Amino acid sequence: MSDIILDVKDLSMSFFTDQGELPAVNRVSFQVEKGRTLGIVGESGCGKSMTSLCVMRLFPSPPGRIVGGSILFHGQDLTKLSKKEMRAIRGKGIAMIFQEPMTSLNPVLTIGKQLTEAIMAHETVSKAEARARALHMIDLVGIPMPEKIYASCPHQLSGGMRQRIMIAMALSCKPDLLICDEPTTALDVTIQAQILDLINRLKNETGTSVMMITHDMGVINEMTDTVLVMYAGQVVEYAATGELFSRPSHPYTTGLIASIPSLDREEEELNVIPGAVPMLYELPEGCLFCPRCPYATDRCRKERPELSEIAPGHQVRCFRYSSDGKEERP
Amino acid sequence: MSKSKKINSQSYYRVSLAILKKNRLAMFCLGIVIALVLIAVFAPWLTPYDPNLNDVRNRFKGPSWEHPFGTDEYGRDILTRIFYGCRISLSVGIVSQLLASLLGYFIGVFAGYYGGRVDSVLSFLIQVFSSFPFLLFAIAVMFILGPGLMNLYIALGLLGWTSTARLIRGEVMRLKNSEYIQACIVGGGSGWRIIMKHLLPNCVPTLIITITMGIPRAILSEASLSFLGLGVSPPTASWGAMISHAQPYIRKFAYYSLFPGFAIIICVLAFNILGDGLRDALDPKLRS
Amino acid sequence: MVNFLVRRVLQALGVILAISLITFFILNIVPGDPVQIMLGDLATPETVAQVRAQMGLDKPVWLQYLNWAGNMLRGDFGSSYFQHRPVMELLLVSFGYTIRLASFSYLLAVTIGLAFGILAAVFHNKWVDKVLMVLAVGGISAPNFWVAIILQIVFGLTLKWFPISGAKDFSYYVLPAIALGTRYAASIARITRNSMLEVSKQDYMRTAEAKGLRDWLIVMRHAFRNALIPVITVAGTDLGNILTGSMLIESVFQISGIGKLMVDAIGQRDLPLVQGGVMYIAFICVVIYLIVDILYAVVDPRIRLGGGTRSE
Repeated sequence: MSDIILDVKDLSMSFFTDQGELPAVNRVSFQVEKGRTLGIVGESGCGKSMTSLCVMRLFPSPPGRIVGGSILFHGQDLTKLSKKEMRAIRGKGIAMIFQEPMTSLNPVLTIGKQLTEAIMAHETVSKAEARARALHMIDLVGIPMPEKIYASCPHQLSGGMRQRIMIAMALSCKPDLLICDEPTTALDVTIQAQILDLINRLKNETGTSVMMITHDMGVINEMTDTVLVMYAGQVVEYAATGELFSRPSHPYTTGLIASIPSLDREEEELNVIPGAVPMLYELPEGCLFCPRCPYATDRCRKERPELSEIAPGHQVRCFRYSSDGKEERP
Repeated sequence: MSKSKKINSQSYYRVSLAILKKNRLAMFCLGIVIALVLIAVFAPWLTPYDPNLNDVRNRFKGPSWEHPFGTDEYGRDILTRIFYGCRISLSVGIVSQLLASLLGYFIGVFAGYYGGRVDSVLSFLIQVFSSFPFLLFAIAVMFILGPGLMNLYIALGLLGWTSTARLIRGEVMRLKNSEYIQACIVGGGSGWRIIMKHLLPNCVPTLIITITMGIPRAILSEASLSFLGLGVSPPTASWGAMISHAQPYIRKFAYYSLFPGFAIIICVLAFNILGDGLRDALDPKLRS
Repeated sequence: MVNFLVRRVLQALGVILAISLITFFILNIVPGDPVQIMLGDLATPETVAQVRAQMGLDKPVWLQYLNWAGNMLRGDFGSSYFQHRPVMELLLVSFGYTIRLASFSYLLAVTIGLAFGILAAVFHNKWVDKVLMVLAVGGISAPNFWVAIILQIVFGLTLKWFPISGAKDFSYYVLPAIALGTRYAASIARITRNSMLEVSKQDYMRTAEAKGLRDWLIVMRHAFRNALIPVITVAGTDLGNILTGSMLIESVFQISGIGKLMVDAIGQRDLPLVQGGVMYIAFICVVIYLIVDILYAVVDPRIRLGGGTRSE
């Protein structure tokens, strides 16, 4: 058990707005083991980013508030920490990189300044040491001429370079957990592969765990050890990556996997899941996925299914695998 | 939401109105503005006194039932003069800003729509006129034209267009690249027609905001000019001129300088808050 | 950077040229013959003609302009009709007072404005924010000459804390500086607050938070420097406005700066003095705006270094 570094239990986060309480994250549980990668996948608006922001306690607040559950990081409940204690964790224990490398770096500060301030926020090092460390990190993420980059400003770098800098910044204090929120979505395809390789290489070199948030099943397949599939703020399926791809069980997961464009199959058009993620203020009464589900029954429209374990370590939220054992698989 | 979309007038303004109605402070200020307009229009019926008739026996009477705000150095009722001053302030504010917006719209739209050399020249003009403190220019122009209401309209109207022009220019440059205007251009619409029929409706929200924001500035400028003796010619009542006349008497008759000042603050404050509210309600960027 | 500087300086020179043209031609369509005004109604037509010729007023307008502009380049703004002294000399004598008043009030406006703006943004939607913003909208709505008179009544005549006229030592500048600075403190506070709130929504603010930086570092290093860009524009224009606004304040407080000089000149219809004063203030403003643009470049590397892949 000691190699579980992040243990999220029943985490719920809601936005309190004019339209009432909107559950953005709904009783989500998962674990991240040391040196392993957890993927969270789902369409935009499914709550995957909000889940990761909950771990960092960086969700917009107000109106957001954690309404239940716990986030145990090395056994310490992050939901109960003071602002100051949380600050000591951010960047040092858990680091995060974001989707938009173009806007995630401060345009008026040099790269060097932004790297060293991350180091100096957590460690008592001299400016010279911080600088040496920053240069080393720039080198580590594979950018040539660290000295030149150190002195330049974000607008002089390309998107891929900026994302590398974000990674260098995130890893500069040797965090135990790196959260990557759609790290490649905004980048060109060729750059995407490079960045993913880089994250993988650094993960292996530093032994940090990774939480990979993405909507891309291909990324999940390549990068992760376990996967959490989310839909409308809920976990709908949770399994080891191999298990998930060989035995996808929730109709949503099946849909996501089927929508990966494939070069082998000759298809007339892309497989897409019809419909869209419901808005949080118009959630259906029964199963949240049922309006888009090809197998929806009357029961699905009235009742919400719970997560049930269909194999060791494989959980699904669907009546077709509900714990009463009546498997209604077609 | 989308800036490039043609403004669908009905629903757009309905949403704006709903947002504005929710803003209680702005609605209160709208009430004040309406009250001020009514005061300006009906000034002669609101008071039994003549604003310009001297009555030397009644000089410097303190506030009383007959004269709620007291009387001035010529025995004229101060409240009456404030009512009549409201006419000057509002008319200068409104007329000069209408003039300024008209000028600003056309300069901005020509610069933004035609681009190239036209834009260079007009942009330089905008830059020249805005690298000059507004009031300094107004002082110079009023110095030449001499005091008078018409001259105030002209001076403040001819000088207050730069910010409108700059905003409209930006707006039009953005609109020009929208598919909708591109389609009109490709379809062979004449420049003038596009400017009046397609660009103008899209610029109306910006114009409403700049006019409401410009009025308080014009009113303050008028007050400053009148204070310097470059506003309306005496004995016409103007808030700024009243403060200027009150200044020598601050030792003995402090109340005299208070009331016109409060009148200016209330009027300008109401327009400023209303302007903020309108901007929040009309600016598509702020809508989510 | 050099390119940017050269372009900007050339532009400023163009603006000065244009302003000189406008000032000259506007002020030369003055109704009434200035010579007649200067000499009074008793002067014979012969004397008037003679003086006109002396002053070069009988030449074509464009020649007059070239003369005037050429003289101005040499620092010769002509002579005052009434004080019979060179305009430049009068301006220089008064300039000290104006610059003292303007710098005190500007210092006041910038410090109070920035402090209140940052406070309001940090306590966004709390009562601090609301109180400060009500004060700010009040501040931009009050005419400064009226604030000056109220300050005179309250702190000068009633409480007797500060003198209300003249400019002998620092205490004489306290009330005028407050009266002149209030409005600009308010406008700087408003723009600072709005700009800080705008910046706080940016992605890089979340990055800074994710690094675990202290709150004040996030506010001052990450938010404030970015928020400063629009503030610099407003603060720059305000400096020009303070110079003009000082006309009214100087005449209320009887400080013999450029403002009062100009106001008196306006009253006497002293054309060369008004013309020279306007040009002088306009020139200072153009220089200020030039400095503002250079400051921009200092704060924002996207302008300084050029060639950004992304422009806001």
